[in-house]
Amino acid sequence: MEPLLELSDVVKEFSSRPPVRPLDGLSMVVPPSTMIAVTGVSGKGKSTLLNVMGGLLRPEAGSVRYRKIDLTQATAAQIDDIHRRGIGFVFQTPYLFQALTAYENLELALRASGEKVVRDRIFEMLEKLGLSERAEHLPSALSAGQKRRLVLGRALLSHHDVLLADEPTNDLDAEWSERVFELLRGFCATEGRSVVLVTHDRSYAAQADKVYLLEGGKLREEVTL
Amino acid sequence: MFSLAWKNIIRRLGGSLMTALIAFIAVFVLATSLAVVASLENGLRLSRERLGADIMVLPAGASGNASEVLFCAEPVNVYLPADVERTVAETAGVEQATPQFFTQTVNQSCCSVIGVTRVVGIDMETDFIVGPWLVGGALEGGALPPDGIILGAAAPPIEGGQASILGSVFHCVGTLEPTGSSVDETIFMDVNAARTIAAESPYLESVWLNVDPFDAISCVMVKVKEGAQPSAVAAAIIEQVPGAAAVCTSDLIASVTSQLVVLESMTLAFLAAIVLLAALALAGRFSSLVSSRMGELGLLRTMGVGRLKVALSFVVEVGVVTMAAAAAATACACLASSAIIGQLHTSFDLPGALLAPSAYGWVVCAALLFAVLLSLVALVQPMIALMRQDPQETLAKGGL
Repeated sequence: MEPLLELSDVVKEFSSRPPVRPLDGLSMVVPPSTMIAVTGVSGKGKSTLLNVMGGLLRPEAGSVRYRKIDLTQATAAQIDDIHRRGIGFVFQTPYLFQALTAYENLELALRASGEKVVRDRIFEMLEKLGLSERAEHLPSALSAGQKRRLVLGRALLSHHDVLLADEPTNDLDAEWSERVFELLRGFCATEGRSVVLVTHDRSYAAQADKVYLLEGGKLREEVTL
Repeated sequence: MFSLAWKNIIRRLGGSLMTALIAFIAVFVLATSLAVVASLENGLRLSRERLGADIMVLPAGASGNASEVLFCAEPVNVYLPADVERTVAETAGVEQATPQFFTQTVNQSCCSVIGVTRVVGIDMETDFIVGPWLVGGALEGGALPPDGIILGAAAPPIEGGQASILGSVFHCVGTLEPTGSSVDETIFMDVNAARTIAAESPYLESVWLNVDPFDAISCVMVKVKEGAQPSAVAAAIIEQVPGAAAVCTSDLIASVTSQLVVLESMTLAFLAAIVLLAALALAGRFSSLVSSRMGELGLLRTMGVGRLKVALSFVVEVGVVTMAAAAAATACACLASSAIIGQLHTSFDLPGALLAPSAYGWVVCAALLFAVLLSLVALVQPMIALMRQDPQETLAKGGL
């Protein structure tokens, strides 16, 4: 099957002193209906990898292809279009619109992706994330764990082909970590979608279909049991 | 996007009010200044065009109050003998002369008049000061009856067309166009009727101990013949009428004009400073908003919202707040300006004429245009920052 995302010989360097090269000739394929976990020690470029995969950062060399579109050569309008329906994000920092309630944050995500706003769908997602009673609350009234779940809900609600999730279980207890993992699993099981998640938790990563270790700017596939 | 902008406004009320306050102050100062200066200039223009008199003949003891008499409707209860009018009229170079008789300031404590106004007696047979500015061009019936009154353009309204003044009932028989002078704030009546109520006024009892009110006038308004020099005629009048002072109204207007020039220069300087400060304050405010929202703006970009739409949502947010504040400031300025004009009018003996609604319309347009320009100028730097530093990239880097 045609891969959703394909990275070839990607080099990403930050011009600090001395320069940092978190991705150094990295290649990777994201097939449909797959959950991929990327692990590695902190500060070695896992988040950079996700941002390059999602077209948020341009690499110095190599190509990043989403359904045959090279994101390194794509126009801003093409990238915007891909972000609307193709690639979604869950950032390490739970960014939310502070002036919008939990419900409205999800509603805006649907509007931005051009999907029809269905109230029941939003409430169903809030229910799944244990936030139905917090629907009318602003982010400032939510706990760190609730914000994290809301951010995940926003990403899951839009029908992206690929979801790039950066430490999605940060701030969550063991029970919610498990439930979130199940939700991500369910996402992969629908319409050929895939998830690439970055985590430093190896036991969590081990539940994915594929596990990669990021080391020395390259990925090494680890055998999952 | 508009919904997000609106919710940012109402749910981040503290920040919105801060932005609104800066815009409010800037627009309020501008609109008030415009309205006040326009009103003073309007008053001066009307005074020049509609004053009618070239010379005012007053008792020597009242000549220092000529500006008050001319522009502020302050009654001066110092009188000249009535025959002075004839002497003045016969002086070489005098085209027309008409007497006026000042009674007193009246208010609700003595009369059925709302507010404070001055009552002046005029002789309609010789008058050339009041008659030309009658709304409709002439009085009903052509003459001013003993119980008739004419209201200046800024005189208090009279309910039911009649008023009790110092115990006598008068009927309104006409109103005047604005003139920019004290005429606007005056109730005019027949000179003999004015003398009668003044003679019976308990407030003026002491004045009549040495003066016969029926043989007294307060001033004579003089129009000089074509080609005659008002100053020369004034000098001739002073020679003819001992105990009188003749003041050229052109001198008074010139003096007021020079005061206005100073006032306008100061106003312009203050305005320039306020505009500069407001632009800097708003630019700082907008920049700080962009910085504090970089995460949210970046989030919108990662959700596929175009750069232009993201910028537009921000512009809509600050634009709505700024324009709402500007509208409120303009309304407050229109209300405040009349009070300020009144204060300047009485404190500095400056001419004042209420602006016509169309003039206020211009002030409103100018203030709102200023608000738009101010916002655009203040938005330049934040927008450059927003466009140069893609928040999407900032967000990605922030996630490292």
